[in-house]
Amino acid sequence: MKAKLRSPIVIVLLLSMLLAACTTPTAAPEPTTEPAAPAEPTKAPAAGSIEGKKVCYLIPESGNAFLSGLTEGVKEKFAADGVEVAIYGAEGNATTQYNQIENCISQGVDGMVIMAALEPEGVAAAVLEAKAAGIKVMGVPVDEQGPYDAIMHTDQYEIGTTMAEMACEWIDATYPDAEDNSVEVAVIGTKGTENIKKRSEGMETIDDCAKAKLVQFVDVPEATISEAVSATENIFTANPDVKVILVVGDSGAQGVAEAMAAYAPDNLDEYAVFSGDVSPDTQEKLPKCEAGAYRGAVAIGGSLDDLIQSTYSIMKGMISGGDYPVETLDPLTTFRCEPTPVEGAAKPPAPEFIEIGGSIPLTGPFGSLGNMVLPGYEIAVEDINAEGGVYVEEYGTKIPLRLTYYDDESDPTKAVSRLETLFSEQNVTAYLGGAGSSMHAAASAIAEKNQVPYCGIAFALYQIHQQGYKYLFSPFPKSPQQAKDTFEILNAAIPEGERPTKVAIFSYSDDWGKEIGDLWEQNAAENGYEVVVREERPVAPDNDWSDAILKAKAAGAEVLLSLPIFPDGSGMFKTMAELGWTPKFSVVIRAPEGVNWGESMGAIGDYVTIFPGWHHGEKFPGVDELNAAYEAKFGRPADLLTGPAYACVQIVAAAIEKAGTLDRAAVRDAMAATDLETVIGPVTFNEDGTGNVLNPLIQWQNGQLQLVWPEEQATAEFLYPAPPFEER
Amino acid sequence: MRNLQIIFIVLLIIILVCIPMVIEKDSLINLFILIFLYITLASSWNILGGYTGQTSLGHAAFFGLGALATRLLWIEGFPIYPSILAGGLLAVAFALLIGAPTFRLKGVYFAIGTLALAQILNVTVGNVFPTIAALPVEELTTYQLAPRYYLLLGLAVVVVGVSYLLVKSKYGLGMMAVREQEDAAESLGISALRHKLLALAISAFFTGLGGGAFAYYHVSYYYQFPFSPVWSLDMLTMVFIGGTGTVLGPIIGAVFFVVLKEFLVLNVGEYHLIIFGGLFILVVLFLPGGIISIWKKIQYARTHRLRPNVAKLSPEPKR
Repeated sequence: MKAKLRSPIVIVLLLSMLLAACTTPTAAPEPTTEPAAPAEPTKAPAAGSIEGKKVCYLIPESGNAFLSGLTEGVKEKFAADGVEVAIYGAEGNATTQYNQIENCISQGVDGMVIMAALEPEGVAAAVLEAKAAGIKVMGVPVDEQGPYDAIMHTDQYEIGTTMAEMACEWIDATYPDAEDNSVEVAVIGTKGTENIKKRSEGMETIDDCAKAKLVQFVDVPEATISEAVSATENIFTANPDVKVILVVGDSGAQGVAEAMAAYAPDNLDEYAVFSGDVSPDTQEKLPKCEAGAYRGAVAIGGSLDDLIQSTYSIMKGMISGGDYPVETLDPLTTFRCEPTPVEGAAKPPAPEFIEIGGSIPLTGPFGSLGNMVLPGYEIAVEDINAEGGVYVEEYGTKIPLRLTYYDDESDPTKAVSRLETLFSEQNVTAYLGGAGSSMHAAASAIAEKNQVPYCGIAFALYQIHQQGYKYLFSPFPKSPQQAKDTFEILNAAIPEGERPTKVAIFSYSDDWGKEIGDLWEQNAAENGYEVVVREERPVAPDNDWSDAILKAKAAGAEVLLSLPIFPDGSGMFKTMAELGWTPKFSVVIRAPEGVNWGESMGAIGDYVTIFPGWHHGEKFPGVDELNAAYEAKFGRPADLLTGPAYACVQIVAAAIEKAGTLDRAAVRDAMAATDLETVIGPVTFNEDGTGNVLNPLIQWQNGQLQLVWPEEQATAEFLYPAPPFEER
Repeated sequence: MRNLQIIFIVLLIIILVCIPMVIEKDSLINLFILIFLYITLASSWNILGGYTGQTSLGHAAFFGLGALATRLLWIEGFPIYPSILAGGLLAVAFALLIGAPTFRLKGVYFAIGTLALAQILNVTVGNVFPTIAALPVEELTTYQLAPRYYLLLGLAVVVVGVSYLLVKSKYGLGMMAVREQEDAAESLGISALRHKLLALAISAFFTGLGGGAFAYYHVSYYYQFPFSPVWSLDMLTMVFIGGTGTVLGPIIGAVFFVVLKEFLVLNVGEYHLIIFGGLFILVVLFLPGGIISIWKKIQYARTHRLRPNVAKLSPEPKR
């Protein structure tokens, strides 16, 4: 049947060729004798418009993963140019392929890519017919120019030898103590088609590998997944000690890997399969060692993306009438999972725990803050360990976290000592910070000295981050952000005519007080506000603010910005109520952050806003679960500092997983590259270790803390202006 | 001092000198550093509070001044040891400045007076130097515990040695005489003010050196932190736990204070303060002369059993 069809087709094509020769040919470039470099992806051919043109892409198997990835990639690129690409799979049938070529010719397409022609001679005749019809034809992979306008080809033998080299390297690394000719290898190839025959011959050079011994060659014309599974089962029946199989293509390799996983589920590390091409999926999985026993592949044309680009670029040049290389020799690239020795243990024994620890002020002046931080760490560790822990690639398993913490009594000297203990005794992979700027200042220096990644929250002092420390990370809003947001939120939330304009700043004479005081002053001016009073007091629980309050009242201040510690802040507000000065809007950081503000202040404490870094009403993944866990322990939703503390553990765990090791420098680098969705929202870090995090505004309303800004996270509306104290 | 005691002390010092060479754990070296620092501070305080009977609650000022001067000079590029010495001398200068007016006060008034002066300094330093005294990153990366260890060990040995020599000297006897009965001492031609000022100067000098060593040791702290009254109270607590007016008392107190606290913190978590507080109360109730008095009571009992009529003068203050 085939022969009968072939003769008339050839005659018709030859006649067409003669006729075509009488017409003026399109300006085709001179064929080059030297193999051309692959088309530059960035160099666009000199082209006319190609919109509305059609291209046929003919492949031998539509079920082949590699070919599907390639053709779909090319189709996608042409779609952007308005070019339609029709993909036809011949399913291994040469007649079907003829018919598909004829079909394309009759459709009047502008270009044709014929890939891995099933019967090269017959296809050459069809190519002549297509050319006669003015269709540009590219052959892939074709070793000789023949009737094709352009060819892309690969040294098939080199593909095979590259596979063999990869397999040999894997054998050497996996079986370092194996004797020569002791590791059995099989090849699944074919001697049927010319191209694959050459590749198969290349694959057989694995026998030259010192430790390898080629024990079986299985001829499978087109190794699909199921055929490869059967072939592998047969190999294991005949040669049960075969450890390595080389197979022509990606689908076959997937089948072999599947059969190997079924054959040796407990010691799959001892088996490997290598392929002569690669699908997009496998290309991603191989470097991550996520393809089971499938450990390496040769990619034709560089990566798949490179091959897509070069095919697209050449065909674009052909159908647009521009320049294109008539011959392209594809480079080869390998994708592989790096081997690990099987002798002894494939991976070092995993430690029982990943040690993390912190020095936390549970007593002393910062005790109230530390007691909000600690539950965040504890619940996060419980949650992560409930999932088995953190996966560490170095050990190939999940390892639970173990949190060790010590009370430093709010004493930086003791914090230093505790952190040294954690470093020496627990060998911590990461430090978790305590609370309060002075504590973090001391602790982060120790982290830097010991080169242990440090995640700290509950401090807004920006200055600590400007010391050049590399190991300090803080997913917590800092003074510049707080100062900027204060006025931007005011401007966004209050219509222009109703906005306050006069600002009073009551701060402390410590570093954070000066820092944020200066920033508030600077941002006020930039946003159209006037600072009419700025008063400073030492950090003390019982400052007398009456003089400052009277000044603010006399100056007509409508906004109060302050950062008193708890008893001082409550004293300040009670004095304000007594002296009859009610700011319409107030940001008071620190004092109103604890639940005791609502309990002790009553209506006087309402309308006050804070920037505490988090609120239990935020709508991020994991917040509900955190609140539920906190409620079960303490009978209320998570406290303001608990969420950021929880996020710190999430960040550290993700960094360890990303680093794939417990090496502190690698974990530090992974933390620096954090891009994670946490209970406080998305977190990334700047070079100085400050976090890019949400800075929610919280307001006391009827004795409850409500999140009022940003609007999409709000649990209640922002209340403004605050009514006078005496009217509440 | 008997030969056996000398051999024991020399051996102990040799062992302590060898510790950084044989122990690799930084946490243990840190513990020793803290012990030496607290021995230095407790022994310094004991010179004024124990031997001379002047209960100071303002020693944090000397400690803080020593730390402040040392850190500022060191960060400016001065060599560390002259900087520490400058810290000690600044503490002496301040001590003499405040000594004259405060020694007009007696008993509890003196204690409150010194506390007030130290607090004034504390607040002033907080206002003038509100920032962190952090070491530069380059210094952190080359930070070594061993030189700090040896500095503080040397300082502790010197302070204890000076205390011992002082007890034996006529100045020491003068100080103890002032402690026991100031008027009686004056009547014997002992200038109470001169002896008190001398004790204050020596005590402040070593406390200032301790502050300087702290500045050299601590990687990052607020300038105000060493001025915190907690330091004064810690010095007093250690001396009372160990035994006032003795050479060994402050050493025992410092070791007890640091080691027990560390042990409790690492092992009983948040209950450590309650347990430590309880132990402190027990020591004060049942051992008013400090832990050292256990040994003295044993010695006394043995002496009286052997020679019941022998009474012995003790440098320990009357209570």
